[in-house]
Amino acid sequence: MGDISMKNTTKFVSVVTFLVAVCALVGVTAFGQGERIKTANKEVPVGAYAPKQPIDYSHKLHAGDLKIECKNCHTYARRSRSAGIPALEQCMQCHVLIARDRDPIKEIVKAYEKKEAIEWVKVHDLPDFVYFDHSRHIKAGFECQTCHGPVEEMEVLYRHAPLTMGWCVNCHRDNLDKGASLDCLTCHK
Amino acid sequence: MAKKINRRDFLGLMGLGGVAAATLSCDYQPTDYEEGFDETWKPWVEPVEGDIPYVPRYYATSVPELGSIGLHIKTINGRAQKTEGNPSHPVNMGTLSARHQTIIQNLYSPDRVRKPLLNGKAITRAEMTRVLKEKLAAAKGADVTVLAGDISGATQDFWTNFTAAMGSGRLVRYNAFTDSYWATASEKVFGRADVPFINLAGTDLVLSFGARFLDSWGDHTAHARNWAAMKKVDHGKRGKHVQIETRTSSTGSAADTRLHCKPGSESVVLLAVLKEVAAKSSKLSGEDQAAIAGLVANASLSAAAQAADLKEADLKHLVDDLIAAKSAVVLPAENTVLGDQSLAHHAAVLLLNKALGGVGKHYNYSAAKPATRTVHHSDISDLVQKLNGGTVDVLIVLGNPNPAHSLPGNLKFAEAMKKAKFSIAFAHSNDETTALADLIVPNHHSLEAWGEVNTYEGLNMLQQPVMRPRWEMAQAEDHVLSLSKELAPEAFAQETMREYVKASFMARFGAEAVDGGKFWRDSLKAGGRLAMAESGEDLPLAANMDAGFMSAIAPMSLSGLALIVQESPRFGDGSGATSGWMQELPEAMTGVTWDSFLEMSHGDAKANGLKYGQEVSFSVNGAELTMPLITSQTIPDGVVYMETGQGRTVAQQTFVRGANAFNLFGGGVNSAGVFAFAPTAIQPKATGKKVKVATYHLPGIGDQQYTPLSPSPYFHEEKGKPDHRFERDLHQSITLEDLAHGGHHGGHHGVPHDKKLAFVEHQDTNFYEDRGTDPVVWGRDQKFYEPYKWEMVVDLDTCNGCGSCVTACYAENNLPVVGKDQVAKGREMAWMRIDRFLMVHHDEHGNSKVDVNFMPMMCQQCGNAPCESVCPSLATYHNKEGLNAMVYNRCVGTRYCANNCSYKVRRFNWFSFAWDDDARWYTNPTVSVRHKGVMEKCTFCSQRIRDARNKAKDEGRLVQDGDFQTACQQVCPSKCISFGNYMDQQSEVYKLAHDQRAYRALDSHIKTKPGVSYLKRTTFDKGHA
Repeated sequence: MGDISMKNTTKFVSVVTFLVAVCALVGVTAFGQGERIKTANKEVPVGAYAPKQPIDYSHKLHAGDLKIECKNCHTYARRSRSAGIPALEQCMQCHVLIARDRDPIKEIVKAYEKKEAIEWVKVHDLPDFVYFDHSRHIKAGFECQTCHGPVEEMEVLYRHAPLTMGWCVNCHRDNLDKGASLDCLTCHK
Repeated sequence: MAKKINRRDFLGLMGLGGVAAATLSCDYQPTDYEEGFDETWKPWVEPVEGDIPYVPRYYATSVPELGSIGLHIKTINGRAQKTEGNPSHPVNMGTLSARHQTIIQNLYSPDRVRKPLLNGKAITRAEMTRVLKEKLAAAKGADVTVLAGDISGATQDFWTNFTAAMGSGRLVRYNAFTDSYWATASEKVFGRADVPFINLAGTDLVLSFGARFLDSWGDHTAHARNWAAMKKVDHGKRGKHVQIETRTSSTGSAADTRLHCKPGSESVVLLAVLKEVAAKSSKLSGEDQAAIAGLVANASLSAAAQAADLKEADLKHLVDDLIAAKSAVVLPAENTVLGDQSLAHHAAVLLLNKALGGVGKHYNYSAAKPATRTVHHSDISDLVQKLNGGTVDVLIVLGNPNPAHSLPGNLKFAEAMKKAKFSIAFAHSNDETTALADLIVPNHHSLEAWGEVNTYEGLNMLQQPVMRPRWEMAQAEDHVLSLSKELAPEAFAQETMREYVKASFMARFGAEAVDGGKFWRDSLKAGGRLAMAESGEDLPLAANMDAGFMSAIAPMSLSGLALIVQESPRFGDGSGATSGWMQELPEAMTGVTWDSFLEMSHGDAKANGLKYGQEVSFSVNGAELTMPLITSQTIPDGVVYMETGQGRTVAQQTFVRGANAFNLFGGGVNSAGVFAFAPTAIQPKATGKKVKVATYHLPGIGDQQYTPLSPSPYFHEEKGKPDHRFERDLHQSITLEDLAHGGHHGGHHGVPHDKKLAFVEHQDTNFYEDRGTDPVVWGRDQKFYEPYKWEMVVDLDTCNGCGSCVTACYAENNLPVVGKDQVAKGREMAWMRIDRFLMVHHDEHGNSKVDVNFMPMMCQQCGNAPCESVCPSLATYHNKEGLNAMVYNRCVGTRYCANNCSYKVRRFNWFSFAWDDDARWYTNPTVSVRHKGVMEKCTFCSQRIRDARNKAKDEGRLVQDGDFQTACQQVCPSKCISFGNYMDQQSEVYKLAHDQRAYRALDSHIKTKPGVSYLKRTTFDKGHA
């Protein structure tokens, strides 16, 4: 059974949003005044897949400089096969106050107010005949960076790993002790 | 105009308690291989509370069109994806029949009404509201009649209130196959106009006079479950099922004794049996005995035997069995073969059950359906008269009851409906009736709407939306509520149907709840209030039973070929005919798909100069029908058979097929208040055309185990030999006597072709020894079958060939519907099929009798698989857990594996079958959609295994019985499929695989070491039935 949705959903969300926003603001302000870490920008390697996104979102800024945990936004990674792209509302939890003057944020605010989804381009995309489950890999203790590369250093997100079968199988072969399987049915559905 | 949601914009999901504001959702995986790297993803704007992408959520609901069935709808990413049964529902207990599962196909039907239409022209929504308001306001105080399907509970109350508030009109409910004959019969016999809940639990003898209670009649999912429990062998003994019928049905095939009676003679036999049983019954008072004796004074076993062409000795034997049984149940004939005898027949059945002591326990009136909640055909019959009289000002057709298709042709409903001054259809799909309406308003499908289904007493099932409606539309009740402020301000206190249902439900059941909100949420979660009385009380006979009504029973005089028409288990009243799954599911006895057919015996066909596949025409009651002729071994001489359901005219072109059997029905209701057909003599004539019939079984062509449907080299009827495939003992049976003596090899059992091979003893502990010691990959410390070996056990004793598992497999594994032409070429994609085996017996008088046996056949996951060794690309291999795995993207389509498969269970994709914008909505994202050139087959629902294994791993344990079920196992109404880990010696599947009835198909001949065990069908004696 699915969860029962609560009454006053909107109210709840707005309270949480406000609290999170305040915390974030305080945190960011602290960073801004003090030791805001400047992560080195990893240039997109020649030939790497780095599609143009509708919003110039910087993982380097969020995950690197501001040290926001990956799973803070990609919340489903622990629980689902899909890590998910955060809902716009999640962006707004901070950006309801922060950096409202910047162009990309203005676009986000506009989209949020119009209730229009932003169509992101998937960078790590597997063919349909492959079953990949984020939650299994997180539970086995793998870092996001193992497959996604140094995301916290990427101004523009690019595909780090080849995501080919050989690449997957090699890693599985090295991790048999952690319970990795070499059965074809593990990934092919 | 309803705005179509872009598929990628997808659904937000309704929270159970209210509408979440989400409009968008996560990505919807494209279902072909074409997904490139430039795929995009549109996340939610606002996440829905608790929803996680790709993690299924289940919503409990019920829908009026399925009656007393509790559903769990599996939703993924906000879209309803699969129909499953509610395990805690007292009637279906988690199981579903094939037709129940098509509710999801109806939801995504291409026939859905997407825009409002006024006189056939698309109009805007504002215009629609204006017309609606104007017409209803003008009719205030006049006759506003609502014609709905079998709605009940709060939904019924709502419309009753509405019609009463509007004026002189009323709510008319209609359902082509109603059970109101029980109400009239009960009133006659017990003075109580209720429909009893028939409960077979605890019986040891079921006698059916033709009701196909295992696959279409009554609450068949419950009946099948209790019937299977009755057939469980305990110390060499078990209950018995006797079927007296005219045409061999799948229910009759599963019976222990099947007696063929002449068409129209069921009631005569019933009366004679009633006379004998009542006279000997110890459960009747002397007074009742006398009353019954008075009613049946003219009946006699010998006359009945003669009229029905049965042996008197058989009937005597039957009477003795009934008297000796501890708790026998008698079921009636189906209403469509009774004609005017319906009332007397059902009354006699009630009396017989009373005489057997079954009223209360098996005919439960404490959980009855009151007459007010039962559909009476006289209502619609009156409505047609009223329409013809021109007194109906506004006719509202609600939902899709579709009388224009399923009313007797003589009533001419279409013409009558045109005489209403204005007609409005609140419809979710286009059909023959909505097409006649002046204004068509798009309505929610039952899975998108609020309501209540209340059939039996104590069964108040809540209907809740399981997903956001596919298009921005409102449900009919909400339209009415928004208008009712001006039209009928006093009628409703609520503003939405959700509030109405909640208020009504809470007032009845939640008034005393401490926490009302919690009570409501828990009720929704449970599927409503499911509290049926398990048994009732024995009722006294009505004092004033008039003796005359039994005189309706007399043998029907029929000369030549008698046509019987029955409800199709697949199509029902025609609503199932727009489902691809149902069209492609073969009819159980003939294997016909995609067509109407007239079934006739070989002998009759020969005598009439007709041949298999010829188009024939015949007329009854002034209606002429044309359809292909199917000759069959199972139907007795003198009977021809056709089914209802086909012959839809307003539907997608693909589903406009066959002939409408309802056109043959006479126009009047019978004494039981129901439209009924009576067996009628017909004279079919060949039209000269030949039709290519698409059957699942191709006679003689490439069939390894297929059952021939016409005489073929494989069938040696003339020589008195059984089908030679019995020599391969694919389907085995054993007599109870042999079973009691511990024999594994009794019954119809052939000899291995290679005499040197002994039968494999599956009790051998070393059965899997050789595989078990092999490492999975040389040099690695992994062994086969550690810790899992997945196996299945299928009990042939309780399989009745209903095909529910086949449809569940279609739904779970994204199997394409291929269409008639492809089925005719043997290219259907069903991973699971029901094989049908015939066994011909000849008695001393030279009469032959055919036994029919069903056997579900799916990939046997061989331990020594013929398919694996021939695959050049290693796309199929034996995995560590005993699955014969199939890697689709590795397959290059040589088809060697299918050629080498001994069970013919591999399916080849000859085309990339279309998953159009509608069909894609119910694809399962955990299973890939295969494309052209790929071989596919059953993998024991490996995606479900994976999920269960992962869950168990997280909890630090092994998968146990009950953690998950395969799709086929889950729906099987008689629970004949077991599945589990063979390496767990406590598992059910391990125990059953070591049952003395267990065998593995073909294993003794070709040593394939199948992972599926079959349990032999048990029979009372050799040459059963």
